[in-house]
Amino acid sequence: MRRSKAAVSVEVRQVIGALCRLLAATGLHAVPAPETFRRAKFGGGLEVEDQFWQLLTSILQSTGIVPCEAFNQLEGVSKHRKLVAAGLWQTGYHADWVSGGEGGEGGQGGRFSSRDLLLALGWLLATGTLEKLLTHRVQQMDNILLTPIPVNPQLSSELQLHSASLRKLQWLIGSLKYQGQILLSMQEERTRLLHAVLFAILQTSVSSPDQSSTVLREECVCVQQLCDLLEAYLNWKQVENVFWTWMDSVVDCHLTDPVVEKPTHAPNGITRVCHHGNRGLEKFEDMILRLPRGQKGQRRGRGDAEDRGERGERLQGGSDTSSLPPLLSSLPSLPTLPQVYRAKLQTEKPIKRGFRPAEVPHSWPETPDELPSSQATQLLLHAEALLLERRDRQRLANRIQLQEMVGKLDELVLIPP
Amino acid sequence: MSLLSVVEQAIKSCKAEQARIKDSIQLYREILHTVTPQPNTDCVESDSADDATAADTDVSPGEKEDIELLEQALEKALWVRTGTGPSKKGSNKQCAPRKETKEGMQAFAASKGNQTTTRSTSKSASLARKEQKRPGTSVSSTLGSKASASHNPGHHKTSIHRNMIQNCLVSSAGIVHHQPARKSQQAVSASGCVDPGQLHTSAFHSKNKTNRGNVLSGNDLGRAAAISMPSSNNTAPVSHTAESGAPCLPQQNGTASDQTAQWRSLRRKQNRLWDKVAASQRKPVPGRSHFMERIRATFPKDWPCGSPDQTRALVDRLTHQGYDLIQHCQTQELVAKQTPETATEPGGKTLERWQMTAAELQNFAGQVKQEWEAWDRWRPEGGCLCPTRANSVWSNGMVAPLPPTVTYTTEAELRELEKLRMRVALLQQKMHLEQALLDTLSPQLSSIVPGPGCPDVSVLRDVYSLLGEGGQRFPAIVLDSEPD
Repeated sequence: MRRSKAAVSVEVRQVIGALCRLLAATGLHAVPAPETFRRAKFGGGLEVEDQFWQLLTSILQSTGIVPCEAFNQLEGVSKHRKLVAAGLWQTGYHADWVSGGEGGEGGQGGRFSSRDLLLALGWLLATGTLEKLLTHRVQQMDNILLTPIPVNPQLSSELQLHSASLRKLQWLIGSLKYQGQILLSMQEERTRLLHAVLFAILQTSVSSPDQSSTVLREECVCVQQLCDLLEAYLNWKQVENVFWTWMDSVVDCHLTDPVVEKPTHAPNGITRVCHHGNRGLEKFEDMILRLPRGQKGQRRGRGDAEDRGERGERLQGGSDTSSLPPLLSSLPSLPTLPQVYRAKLQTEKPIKRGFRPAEVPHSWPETPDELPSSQATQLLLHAEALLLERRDRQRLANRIQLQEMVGKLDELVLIPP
Repeated sequence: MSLLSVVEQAIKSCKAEQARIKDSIQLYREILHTVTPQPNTDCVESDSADDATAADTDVSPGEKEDIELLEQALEKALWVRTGTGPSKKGSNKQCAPRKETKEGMQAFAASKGNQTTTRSTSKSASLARKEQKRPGTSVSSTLGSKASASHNPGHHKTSIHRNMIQNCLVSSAGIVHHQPARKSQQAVSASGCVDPGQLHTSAFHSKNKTNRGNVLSGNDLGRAAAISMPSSNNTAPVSHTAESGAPCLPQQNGTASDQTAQWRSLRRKQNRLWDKVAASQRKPVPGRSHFMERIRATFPKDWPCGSPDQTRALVDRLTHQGYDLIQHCQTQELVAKQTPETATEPGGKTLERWQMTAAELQNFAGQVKQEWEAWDRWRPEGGCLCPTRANSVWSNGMVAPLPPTVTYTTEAELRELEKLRMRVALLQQKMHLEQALLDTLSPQLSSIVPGPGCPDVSVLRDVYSLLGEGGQRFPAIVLDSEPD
């Protein structure tokens, strides 16, 4: 069925309007009007570019793809450029203006236009940035989520300890343990109350309490905003495909332009140090070196054959590291547990979905949206068992080594507890 | 950076988490108090009763003992400091002075907590936080004996008490003020617990103006005090509007129940919407994948697959698995050395399997390293390739899904789930630190060579207990001076 161009363009405008509403509902401030998108497709000029720079910057900052501290010293257009370039690279996007723009301020030989920014936005949306924004906003607004527990300290590689402060260290470790126990008991209390709140939501009591509260009023406002956000998201999901079709046409426009020479290799070989310092691969390489070596002959034979095979693969460009080799995937690894999740109280009997109790999940299922708590508990128990095993093994090794060491000393005898 | 500061940082982050949990607890209590029908209408009594039970449930029996002991110690210190002995207390009523001293002690503890060094501050600060509810309890019960308190012959003591109460409220105001602005409502409702305390303090204010400069300068609590004064004692509401400053009257029955019903219906609507959103996630979106393929086609030939974030997560995961494997083998060797009779066939087979896994890991790691380097070549300024624990990058890597929903049927399930989550997090933290400790101490240990000069025995003992027993048990080291 052929539709008139006008009808299509009206539909596209509506769809882009839905997208803009969704972006605004996630708390972004710099959302351009739908018309701006259309202008961007055909190269709208500096004003349009500006709006898109703002939008991309605020998206990247809100979702935490780019840490803000690295760019605080910069101002103005170059700040936007660098931040957006870093953010896009972080999500795996490549474009000439992203990697090649060290020298030129305004772009690469006049080929850069707002269309490039539009494509970058499309890429971000395609790689799940909308969901990230949604999650971020939900975390801000919703009070009854189960949130992450950030207790892990950042460690630098060089740590010192004077032997004189061992006592203080013991005291501190004991104090830390005490804090952990307090946390556990407070968490228990909080969970009890959370359940009561979730239960209260499902109740249909008629009796009217005689007091009101500002907290509840604020809650209502937040929940209303959340509902609006979720509705906007649902609207967007329904019409998403139209947007992608339109983006396809943008890609067409982009490709029909006279093509700039694509760089087949990185611009220069300088490794730029990231703001964390240059520790990136050290621990990884150290681990590889310390791996136990097998019988030399056997391994070398197999290793060489595999190496030759892999080298061939690599030359074809981009080895596939998305799936682990078989033995490796059988190694126990800590399940990657999600950080935030919602708890839902089910009062009616849940529908059996063919979940066999004998199956113990070892990792979080691929795309879980709903999980019975028994499964989640199993995962956590599994993770805990792994960690405890690892810890006990390390302690055993330490004990044996220390005993050996003291044994070498002439005058001391160590009697373990 | 010193290892001590790392542990201190960990303690700080635990405390920050405690503060967050406390906020949530107060918020939930507030909601429940409003939403569920209350049996009694007299708010002041129920407030103090609530506070009493709240204070009780907050503090576990063990901690209660600690607090009692601390109070006794501080009581003694106060006697010494103020020069009042136990004899002078006999001149007042039996119950009142004990409670007053108690509240004085608590306030004293709070004010002391503000001044002392880090070690005791951590403990008394947490005490002060817990006890910001206590003055409310004890002060409200001494409301009746307010008259006798002001006529206390020990004027010296009263002024000290007054200062201490105000200091306690200042410290609680200080603590409350650290919460983000959005939670200012909860701060105000937290002050609801201290409400009777405000009445008490305001009464003192009107009597002795010189102390006004001390406390409650233009913040929420001050306004709360101003608000609560005109409201009648019988129907003092639990929370009050800080911004409008208008006295909060008990609402009409109709609007209150409307609000509750509205909240309920909004929450249920949100639940329904979430279900729909989750359902929409399961549907594939062909247009999007098509678009991504087309964009990928414009990338250079040697552009790696996936994204830097995926590679980072993979490097991190492989590092952990590798270290795990190394540790397995090492421990196995050490145990085999110690007990050679048990090292037989099964050990050999597992060792071979591990070696195969290690070889596989090495090869795979080589690939991953290549990929990492490829990303590094293209890295712009500000991009980060440090290995990090995967948060929102899943194995398929494409779309970071929304927060999943965990369904449960009984309260016990939810509690167990949360308890496990916390336990796993704490365990990870502990192991993180133990690993850091091992890394820090091993060079020192290897420098202890056999030879002349006896190394520090207590150091050895401490190190053994930290590394081998997690700091819980200690070995005995005996000097063996008999010549062999």
